[in-house]
Amino acid sequence: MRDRVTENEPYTGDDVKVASSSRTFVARNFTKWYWGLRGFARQRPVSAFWLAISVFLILMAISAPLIAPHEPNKPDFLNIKTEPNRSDIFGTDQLGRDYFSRTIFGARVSLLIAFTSVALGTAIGGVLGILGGYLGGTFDLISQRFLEVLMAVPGLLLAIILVLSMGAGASAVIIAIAVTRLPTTSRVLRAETMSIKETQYIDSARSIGASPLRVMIVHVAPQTVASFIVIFTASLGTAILTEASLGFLGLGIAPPTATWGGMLGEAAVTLIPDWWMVLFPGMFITLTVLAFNLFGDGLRDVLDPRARGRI
Amino acid sequence: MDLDGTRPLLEVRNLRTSFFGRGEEVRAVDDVSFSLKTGETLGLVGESGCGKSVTALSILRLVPEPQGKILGGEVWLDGVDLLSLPDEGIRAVRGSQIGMIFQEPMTSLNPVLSIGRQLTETLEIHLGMTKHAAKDRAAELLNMVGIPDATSRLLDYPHQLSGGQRQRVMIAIALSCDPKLIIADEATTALDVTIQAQILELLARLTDDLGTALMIITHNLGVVARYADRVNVMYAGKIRETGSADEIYDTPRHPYTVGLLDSVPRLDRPKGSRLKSIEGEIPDLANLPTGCAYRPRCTYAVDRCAAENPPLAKVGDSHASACWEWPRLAEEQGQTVVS
Repeated sequence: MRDRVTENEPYTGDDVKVASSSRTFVARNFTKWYWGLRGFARQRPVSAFWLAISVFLILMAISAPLIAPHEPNKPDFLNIKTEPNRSDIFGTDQLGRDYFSRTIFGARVSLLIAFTSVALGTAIGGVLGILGGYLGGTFDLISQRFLEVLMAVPGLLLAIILVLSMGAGASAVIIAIAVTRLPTTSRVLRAETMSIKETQYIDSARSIGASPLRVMIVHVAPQTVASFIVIFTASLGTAILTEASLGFLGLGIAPPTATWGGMLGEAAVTLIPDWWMVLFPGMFITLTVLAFNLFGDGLRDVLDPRARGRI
Repeated sequence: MDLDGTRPLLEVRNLRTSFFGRGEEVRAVDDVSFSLKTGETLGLVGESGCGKSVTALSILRLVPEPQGKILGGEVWLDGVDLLSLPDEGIRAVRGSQIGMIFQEPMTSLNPVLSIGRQLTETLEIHLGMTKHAAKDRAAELLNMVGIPDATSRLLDYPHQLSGGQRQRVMIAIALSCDPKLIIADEATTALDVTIQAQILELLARLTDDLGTALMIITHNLGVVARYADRVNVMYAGKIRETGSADEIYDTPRHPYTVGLLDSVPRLDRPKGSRLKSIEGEIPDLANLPTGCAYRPRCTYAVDRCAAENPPLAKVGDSHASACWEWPRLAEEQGQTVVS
């Protein structure tokens, strides 16, 4: 029966537009990215600048061993606490270690922890949000109450409690920061899922026999990507701050590994800290947080049509 | 068993679906029964809010939960009661045995997925096709619904298509697994008139060629007159009159049907005759009047209508009406029929 139909001349009505030319997959995606970035730079030049700074910081962290002029953890007891000079442009610390090298290596720890913890936290939070928003009922009730308990405790305090209970170390810090990211992500994606759930294409997906899991993965999740990216970038700044705070309090990565927070903590031991020991790590923390936050802001404006044009 | 002894493809018996909210029960579908034969086209007409769409959603068990609930009844499709199937069972029916086309072509396709992806989804779910085979089939389907250069159009996203084209894609999706029944819920209402005609023509031709039964839900009597074999007229959650399209149009036996027909301009009416509107408005489904729900607006109402709700009673070969006063109506209609 089917053949009989397909043998017929295809029905061409007035509403059929002229066919577009075929393009290859790679070309489509490359141009998509190129035009996306170009458009972003045009619309939000300031955010694009901070995107460039973020990329620069990430590249700096990745290539730390190539850039750093000295071993970050190698003491030089003949040059303790020297002011910035030709050989040590950021000066040296109380063990004579090169502060510039330590700052660059510190970026590795900060960014690595920030990215992994935020990825972990927002991913789990997002899954909880989509599940809760789509399924509703008991699962939603229980997961949201659990997240509200987390929300009630200030983020840094929560992170301190978690690190203390798990014992210091990179994985403890990552998990602690990830947990602080759960409530926001799940709340936002849950709200978004609840509104997507009411749209007709979800009805039509269900009407072709798609299972709830399939609807969530194929139809709901892709719609929340924009919000997810925005939350992800905005969370990076907070995560870096939390990681630095934990390091400052001595709860972060164990010494002698260089971390920005840890360096600030070591500097603060003295009654009157030397200026370069506070300025450079502090400057990099500020720069990184600012870069991720302002880039995230611009991204939100571009990705969220409702926020567009608002002050 | 149907009147002519064959088993119907779809048989809905005493279907009841209600919505609950603010302590009220809204009886959207109240004791609805009808049947549909293989290859037949059924029109379900009525005003907005009379339960047409909820009837369709109930058949597929897509009534939004937890507010909406199917309270009772049976929906037999080819010997299987859809209402008693487990969740996996009804999912296997959706899309493969019953295809559904929704009202808004602008919003019924997922904006972030290419139409190829959405076309192949049904094939993947029900036929377990490989990506490559599904893609070929999807192109074939697009071609079938009259979208040229199908292979490259598969990469397009819904916003690159016009309203008519999107509805063609929806038809292709609905037809993709060779279903026994297609439900078109106001499928052309959002389109402009010329495109409406094209889409309906396409739908009618394809279902005819493939032997698929078609259920057209609409408030447009013209659409029903042109395409339906049988017509059910719904009002306030109940079927008030059912019959062949000819019976409904030529010899309506329910005051509501008469009112609907009088309110539409027709070429087969004498020139200069006035269009009449139905007085009053649809009753609140949460607080229905006693007896017949149409009584407050009905010009034929008698005391009995307030006391007893009239059941669907046979008034012709395949024609039934839920009205106590249909003989009086028939008499009057007989006098006014233009000969």
